[in-house]
Amino acid sequence: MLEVKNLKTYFFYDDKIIPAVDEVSFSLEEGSILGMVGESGCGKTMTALSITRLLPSRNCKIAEGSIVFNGIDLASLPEDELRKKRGSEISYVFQEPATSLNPVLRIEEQMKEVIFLHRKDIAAAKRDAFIVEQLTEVGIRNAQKKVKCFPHQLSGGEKQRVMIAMAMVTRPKLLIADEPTTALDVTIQAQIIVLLQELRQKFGVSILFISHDINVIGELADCVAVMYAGQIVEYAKAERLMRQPQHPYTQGLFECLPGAWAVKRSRLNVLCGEVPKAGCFPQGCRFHPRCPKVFDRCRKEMPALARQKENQEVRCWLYSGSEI
Amino acid sequence: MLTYFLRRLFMLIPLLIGISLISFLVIHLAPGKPTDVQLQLNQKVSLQVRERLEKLYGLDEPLPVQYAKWLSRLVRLDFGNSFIDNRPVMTMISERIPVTLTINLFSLLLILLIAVPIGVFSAVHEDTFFDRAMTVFVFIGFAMPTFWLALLLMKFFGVTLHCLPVSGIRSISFEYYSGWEKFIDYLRHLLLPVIISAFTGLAGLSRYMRTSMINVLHQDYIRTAKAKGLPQRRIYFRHAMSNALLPVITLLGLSVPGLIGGSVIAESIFAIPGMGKLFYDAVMSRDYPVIMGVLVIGTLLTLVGNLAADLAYSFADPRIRTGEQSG
Amino acid sequence: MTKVFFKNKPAVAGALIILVMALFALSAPLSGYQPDEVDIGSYLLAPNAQHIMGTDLLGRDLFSRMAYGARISLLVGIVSVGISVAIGIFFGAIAGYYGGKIDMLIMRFVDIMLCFPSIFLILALVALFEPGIMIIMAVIGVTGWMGISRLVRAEILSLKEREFVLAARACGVSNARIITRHLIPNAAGPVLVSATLGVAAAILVESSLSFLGIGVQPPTPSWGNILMDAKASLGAAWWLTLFPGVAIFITVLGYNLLGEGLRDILLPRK
Repeated sequence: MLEVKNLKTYFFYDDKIIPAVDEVSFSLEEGSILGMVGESGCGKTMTALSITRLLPSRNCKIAEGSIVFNGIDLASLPEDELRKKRGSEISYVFQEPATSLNPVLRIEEQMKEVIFLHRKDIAAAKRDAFIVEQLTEVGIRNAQKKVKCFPHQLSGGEKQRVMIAMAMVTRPKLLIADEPTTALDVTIQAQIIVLLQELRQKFGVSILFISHDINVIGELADCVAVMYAGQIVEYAKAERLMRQPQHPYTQGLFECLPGAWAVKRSRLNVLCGEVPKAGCFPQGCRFHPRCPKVFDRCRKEMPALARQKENQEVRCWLYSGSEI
Repeated sequence: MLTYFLRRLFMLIPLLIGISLISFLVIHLAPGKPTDVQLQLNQKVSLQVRERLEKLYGLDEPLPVQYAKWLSRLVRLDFGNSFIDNRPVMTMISERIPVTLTINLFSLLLILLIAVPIGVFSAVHEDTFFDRAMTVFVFIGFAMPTFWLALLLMKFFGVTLHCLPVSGIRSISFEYYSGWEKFIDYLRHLLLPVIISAFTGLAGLSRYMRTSMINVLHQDYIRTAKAKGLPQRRIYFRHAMSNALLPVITLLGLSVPGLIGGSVIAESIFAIPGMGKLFYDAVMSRDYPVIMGVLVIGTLLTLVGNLAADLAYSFADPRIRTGEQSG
Repeated sequence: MTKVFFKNKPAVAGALIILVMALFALSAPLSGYQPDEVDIGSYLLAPNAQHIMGTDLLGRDLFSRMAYGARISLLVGIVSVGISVAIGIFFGAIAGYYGGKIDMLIMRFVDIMLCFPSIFLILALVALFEPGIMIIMAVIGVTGWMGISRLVRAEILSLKEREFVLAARACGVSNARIITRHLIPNAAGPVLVSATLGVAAAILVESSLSFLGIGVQPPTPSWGNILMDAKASLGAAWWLTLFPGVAIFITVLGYNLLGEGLRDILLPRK
């Protein structure tokens, strides 16, 4: 349904070109959930925004690659056509519910404009009732009253539910959820995850779910793509990846968490250092300065994403001999 | 909302007391204390002025009494009579205020009508030719001495083209005009003064509007609006501008003292009989009661302007209007 | 030329303008005339070989008057801003460092001062004294310090809990020394930007006052009072209107450009 191939999103400045997303390929089946995981600054959000070209500045462009969505390449689609897909066929839920809703417009208006635009099938007279119904469906209590509220009058969880309702009201085929739970309390996080699972069940929507929390991803996703420094470094079925992470970075992500994986290891090997900034990537494998298993080759050549057993793909020289 | 309004009013009290104190201090700077060593030539004049001031404000009494008297005058807006034509200062001011307010309101309107679209357009087309041209215009606007611009406009429209009056607010034959002609005549006289008092503000506000709009366009909720597939005009006009205009309200409030002060220059150049001209004439003839009166009234007008801007802001911003978080 | 510079490097352009104006001010004696040298016989001469900027109603050489006027404008601009900066730093530093009641009192005072339309306050003060260059500088200085004090206060508030200040305090360094040695130098950036822009504003105010006849008094030449003379001969002598107006405009532009340039350099935005 969604097939992203060799996507490159770069920032073009007068004196330099900075790659934010580099050679990213993945695909998403109808009704499935793809989890995308990595530390902040890895290019996950930029990948998500690239899909409908919601890029943050004029300097930022898709340089190469295709994004085929139900047979149409979004990367080369004119802006006008693309706009019609935004919100109707592809919806977004963003990380910060507090800043993602317009502070000076009522919830009602922010919901209504989407319905007005994309749901011509709902008669004007029925819109109000429809909005309340939709909000109730995503678990907002007292929706009748809440529609008249401004965003600051709702709690963080409620705001995110409004965002989800707004995204789902058009029954999109693809929902892109960019760290939808990061800004929320743990209990609310769990509720939102359950809500997303329900929505998938009910409407068969495919979800691109982005998070830096690999456990959340493991719980929710069917497939997982691990991103590092603008590239996918590991790509596998969720169940396989959780059982047998292969890339040292993925392993590092597990070790950051308190729990089973850390205990099994001989030493607590928390990832040290930071994700290199786009434009300052090291030569060779981009992870090599932080990699505990680094060897000579990693410093010189960049590994390709190579297929392993059970369709697991890894971008690492450690596994260069074992591809099938 | 009501509590906010009351709190805001309550905050005015220390400001009013401060204003009364500072203006009281200004009176005391008045020249000609008998003990002062003054220039020979001025001695006599100064002494006379001093005597009249002493009589008016009771300057020979103990300080607290003096201040109490000054305060009671302020409360009643009684500034005594003019030294020059002996009429009550407050009457003179109230005759002059309407013209000044008219010019200022018109120029405020002009500023808003021109600067807001320029600022928004610049922000939307950031770094394009238009935006750069507007930046140049802004720097010109900031550096332009308005009185010089006034001279140039007077020369161009008044002397060269001979199509606009350059002095006063009505023509000599005003009496004989019909109502409609009177109105047109009035507008023609106000045109240049309004342009002059609007000029600097125009540059400032269009710059400010641009910054505010650029700032808003980078907010998450604009990205949300785009992600919803909304057409550009709805994003710019409904989602972005409703937010970007909020800080402009505050700026307008802050620009009130500049506008009122600027009327001194515009009105003296174009000989408009407003509060600014009154003040200028009073300064030239050392008419202290009028000086004090206009100073205090101008300051009070500033306070009123700030208060109005604050209230307008709190009304426009739902985050203040609807109070604290309820959910 | 300024436009080209300005597109690339506002600060350079501004500095260059200021330099040129300073040279112009220094070049005053080169005209060969005294600024108050009256020569009724050669009144209102258009620019020519003897008088490169022409002469005014009293036959005084305009170049000489312009150049001496430049001295006045620069002097007023810099001295009055110097006064503002001194007062602003004094109040701002005390308010920021001591906080509490003192801070509240000073900041209320600042609010009150800001309520007075500054031109009104300046004119009222000028009316109380004899107008003249000293009074003008003092009055512009005394009515223009509020912004700087707010800047300094904000800067010091953000600095005073930092380690180097706590360390200095722990070592028994006196409050006065902490403020003057450790805190104020850190506020130099924003103050410098604001002062540069302040010079531009002060030059505008001085020339407006002189134009209105309440600033620098004749026969001392200033750009503002040359324009006042020009108003009297409106249309008859373009050079009397053109040169001083352009001089004010260019000088103010120069300081504004330098100020904006310094802002970009010294206070990088987030």
